[in-house]
Amino acid sequence: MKAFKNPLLIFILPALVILIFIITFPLAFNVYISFTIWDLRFRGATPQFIGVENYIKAIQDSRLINSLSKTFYLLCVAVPAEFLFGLLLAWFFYEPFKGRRILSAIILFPLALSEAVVGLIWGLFLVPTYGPVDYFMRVLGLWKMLGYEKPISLTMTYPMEMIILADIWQWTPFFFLVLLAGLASVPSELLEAAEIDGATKAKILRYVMLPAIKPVIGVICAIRIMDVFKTFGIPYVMTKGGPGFASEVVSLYIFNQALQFLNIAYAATLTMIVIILISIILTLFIRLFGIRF
Amino acid sequence: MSSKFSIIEEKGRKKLSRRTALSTGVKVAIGAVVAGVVAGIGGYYAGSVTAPVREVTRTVTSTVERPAAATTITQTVTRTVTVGAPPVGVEITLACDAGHNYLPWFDPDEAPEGGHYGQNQAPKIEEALGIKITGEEVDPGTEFAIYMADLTGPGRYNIIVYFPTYNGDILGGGWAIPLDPFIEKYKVNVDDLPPVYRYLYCSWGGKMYALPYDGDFHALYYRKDVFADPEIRSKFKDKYGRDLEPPKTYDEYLQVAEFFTGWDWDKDGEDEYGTIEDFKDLTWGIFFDRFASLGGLWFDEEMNPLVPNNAAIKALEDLVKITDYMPPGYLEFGALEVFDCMTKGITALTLTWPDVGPRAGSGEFPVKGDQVGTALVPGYIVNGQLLRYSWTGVGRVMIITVNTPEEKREAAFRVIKWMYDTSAFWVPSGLNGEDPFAYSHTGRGALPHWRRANPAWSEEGILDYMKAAEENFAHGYPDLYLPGAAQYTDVLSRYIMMAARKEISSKEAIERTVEEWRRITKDLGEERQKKLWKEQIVEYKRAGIWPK
Repeated sequence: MKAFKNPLLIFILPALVILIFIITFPLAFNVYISFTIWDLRFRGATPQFIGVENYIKAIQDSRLINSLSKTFYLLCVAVPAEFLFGLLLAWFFYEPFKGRRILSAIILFPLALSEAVVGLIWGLFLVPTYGPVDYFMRVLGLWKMLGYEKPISLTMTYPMEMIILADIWQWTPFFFLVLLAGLASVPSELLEAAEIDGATKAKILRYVMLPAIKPVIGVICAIRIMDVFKTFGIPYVMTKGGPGFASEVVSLYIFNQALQFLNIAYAATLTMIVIILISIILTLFIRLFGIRF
Repeated sequence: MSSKFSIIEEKGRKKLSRRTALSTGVKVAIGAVVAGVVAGIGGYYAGSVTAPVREVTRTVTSTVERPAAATTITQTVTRTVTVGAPPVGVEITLACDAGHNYLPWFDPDEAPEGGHYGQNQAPKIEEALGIKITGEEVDPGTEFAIYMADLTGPGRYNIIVYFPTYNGDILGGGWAIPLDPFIEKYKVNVDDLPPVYRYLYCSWGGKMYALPYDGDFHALYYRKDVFADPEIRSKFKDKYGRDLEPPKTYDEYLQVAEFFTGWDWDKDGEDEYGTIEDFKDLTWGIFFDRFASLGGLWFDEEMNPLVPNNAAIKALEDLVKITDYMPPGYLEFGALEVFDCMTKGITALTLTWPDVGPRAGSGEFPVKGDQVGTALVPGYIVNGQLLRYSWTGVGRVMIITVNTPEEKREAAFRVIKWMYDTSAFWVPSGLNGEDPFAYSHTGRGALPHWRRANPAWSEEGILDYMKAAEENFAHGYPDLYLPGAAQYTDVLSRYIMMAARKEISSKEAIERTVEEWRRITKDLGEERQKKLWKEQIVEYKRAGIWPK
């Protein structure tokens, strides 16, 4: 009641209304068409209500199950790796040294690139016959050393692994940046007290610094978990989800359904399923790690 | 002495002043924007009304050459053009895929010779016909989505240049206007088109809806200079007991590819490979060359997929076998990498798009025009007869969208007719991605244009290419033109890749594809798909390629 008497609310009301409209209208529309069938190929076609048929189809869709498994693989390998490398880098950069700022800027460079550009760089990097990786592998005799009679295409042989590498390259700087800021914000009294008590640097990191920045870690991991479900540019440019279905992550599958196959309503259904999954995973993550915001 | 009341009063005055200032500022800003808009609109109309309309009759002479087999027909076209006033003529909005495929319309580097010869037709159309073209480049990877979004939505595009792969959705869906009345009125020579382009690219259910823009087909390319080397010929004969020739069957193709794999036949210090095909971009096409040559069909009349299935399995098995003679990374190679394999001396053969010949002919690559020979694609002996079919997938056609207002349709047709009429100028370039689609492109009358566009190519080399091009599109077999084609071919391509990686057998790949295709047909509506497929069969029969 007190809040409604606050005249300032009147001033932010227009912006609030627009924000709510921008967020909720697309979501509401998406929910609506997920219960329809809508063939955009034909002139005059309108959505036809079909109840939960799309959801039943999705549950039985082996290609959806496959795409979710690829996405979970990416999530379970890439995010922990990005956290680990980001933390190591942050810890290394925690103490000042000469050239720290320039080196930091260089490390942050991949974060400035779009996913499509990252996919292109790594695709060209790894392509046999033309790419530098293959060149050095051949010149140094590494293919034979690894047991391959002739050079292989790493992207086509290990597509998810190469996508994960590209993803780690792009997003480790994000963890580095945020964790470095987090470590820098730990009160110096805590660190001094630990030093006085004889703790080593590693123990200080593990028992003092990391617990102090737990909420920060929780937030960035949560952001990355949501991001992974949106990963599209890297797999699209590098492999288009192939060979076969080997790297078709869920966002790529939804893209194919919506924009290549024009199954807009079914794509909306898949989107809803992914939203529900992300919500469940985030809730479990927050509870498991006892993160409080 | 100031009291607290006077301070409050003073502060109140300041508050009032700030509020007033802000309020006044906002009013002034809004007033300025409104005034600007009004002035702008007024100025536009004032300019158009007050500027003297000078109607000047100007003779615009355009030489339109329609090369025929023996003669070149030159027409002088006289038109009345109104100058001085803003264009009251028609403005047409065009959408075409981005990059090199846009050059025939707009090319800032147009030149009298070389790869940019004959491009940049849009300004010429404006000058000659008074029709202004506003062009929009579209990403080819997502053009289907972009076009369908426009067709079902704002309807901005009057002319669309797209892959006939989408004919089932675009023509079958009723998004293009039939062109037959205009073709009749303007006496467009459609007999110049080989049946596969006239009936399968450009027509649907007995009506013509498009004119071609790019005539894709597959051709066999081989290193002519290497094939002529006496030492290499002798080596081949010793090994296989026959002369080294461009292969006519897929078994011969396998042999020749095997022969050229793993040694340095061009003495450049690196081992080379036998052949390369485009696995990455259009995987189903390289399968279909083989399948069609085994008498295969996308669907039979009852919508049974990939019949006969055993021919599909054999086609895929042969495709998988040939990968042993391809360079590493072949699964990642799209069209451009495949072209490069020929023009950079990595493979001795390739089975791919028509672009290789003109690219070599442009002189911009290590392997030059006359080093590359062109031939008809190989085939299979079926019932005692050598059956050779060249997949004519991709390609491009120009349509007038159904959203185009009535009063603009004729102007839009004149634009696409202009492009059709002048195609002998711009098709020969190896830089623009457009390939021959008419008999007049491969007749002697077109030779001067080919020479000017490809200065590094001898007349003999060009004639050899033109002859092979004509043979290949005369043996052309269409892509799948049905609603949902993208879904069908996506599934087929993925299973082909899995078979190529030896994850599954060719038999399993085809069985899974057939199962998925039946499911897709059911999802899209079996009766409707059958009806539309039967409309397609009409065109297959008109083209003479439906089995009797």
